[in-house]
Amino acid sequence: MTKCDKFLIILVLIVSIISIIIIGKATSNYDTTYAEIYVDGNLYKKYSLDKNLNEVVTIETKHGKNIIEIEGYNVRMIESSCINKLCIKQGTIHKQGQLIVCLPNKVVVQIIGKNSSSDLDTISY
Amino acid sequence: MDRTKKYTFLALLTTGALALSAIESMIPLPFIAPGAKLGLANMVILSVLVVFGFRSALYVSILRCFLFLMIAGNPIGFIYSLSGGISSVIVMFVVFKHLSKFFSLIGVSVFGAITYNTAQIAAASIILENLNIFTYLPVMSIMSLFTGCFIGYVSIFIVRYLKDIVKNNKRG
Ligand SMILES: [Zn+2]
Repeated sequence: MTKCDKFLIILVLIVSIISIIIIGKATSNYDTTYAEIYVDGNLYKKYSLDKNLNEVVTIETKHGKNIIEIEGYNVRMIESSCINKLCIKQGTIHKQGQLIVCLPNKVVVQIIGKNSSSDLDTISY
Repeated sequence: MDRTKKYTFLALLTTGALALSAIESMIPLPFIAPGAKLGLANMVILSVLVVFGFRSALYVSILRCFLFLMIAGNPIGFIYSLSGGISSVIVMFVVFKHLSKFFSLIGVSVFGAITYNTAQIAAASIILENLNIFTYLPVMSIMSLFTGCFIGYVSIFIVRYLKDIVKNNKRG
């Protein structure tokens, strides 16, 4: 291993860790969160997450079948016809910016956060 | 090494790369990011790049993707691995040819692994029309460091072995 190899590795490590911290910061502290389900790049359904919400969404397209469960603030993929089931392995998401991706079936679920207080600020401004 | 021998040899190496991809798909990995892979086949492709040159490496890489499509039957996965495979061969070639004064095969392989993952994420975000997929890039890059180092290290041995075989063939 040369000096440049080591430099490259440390550089990538530092940049990645900083990016992870920045992404992590952007995901916290939102009053309201929404779950957006995209199929083929188009918005399929949007739910405002609430502790009383209990939904099971079934998506059937030419790419395959996916079943998404929304329970309160938590969203997860419970069934998929895809080949590797990575989307199910992604587990439960609840924070702004988090994603569940099913590449083969072209399904993306993402959590969007909105801050009502900051919205008010921009309006009054 | 004459042409026929070279092509037979490259065909054998392609089978090796294919076998590594097949083995890799059987290893259960915890979820890191969609499409994240160890990229074991890259040790063959990197070695071919060093011993036989850019064009051979590109052929082996593309062939592996096609053959793996036939085994796994996953057309979307094929698009991701092809975009990753082609771009990583190009980047590894440029780094190996022009920057090998600075980087060993470990560095070349790390460049390759990061390029592979970045291209895959780019392909995914184009297909899914979702830029948020790029938030997986930092985690995938850290994973690329580990796999890149390992693959580069192994490639150093494969290259040494391959060069011996090619040399002996010239004599004999
Ligand atoms: Zn899936």
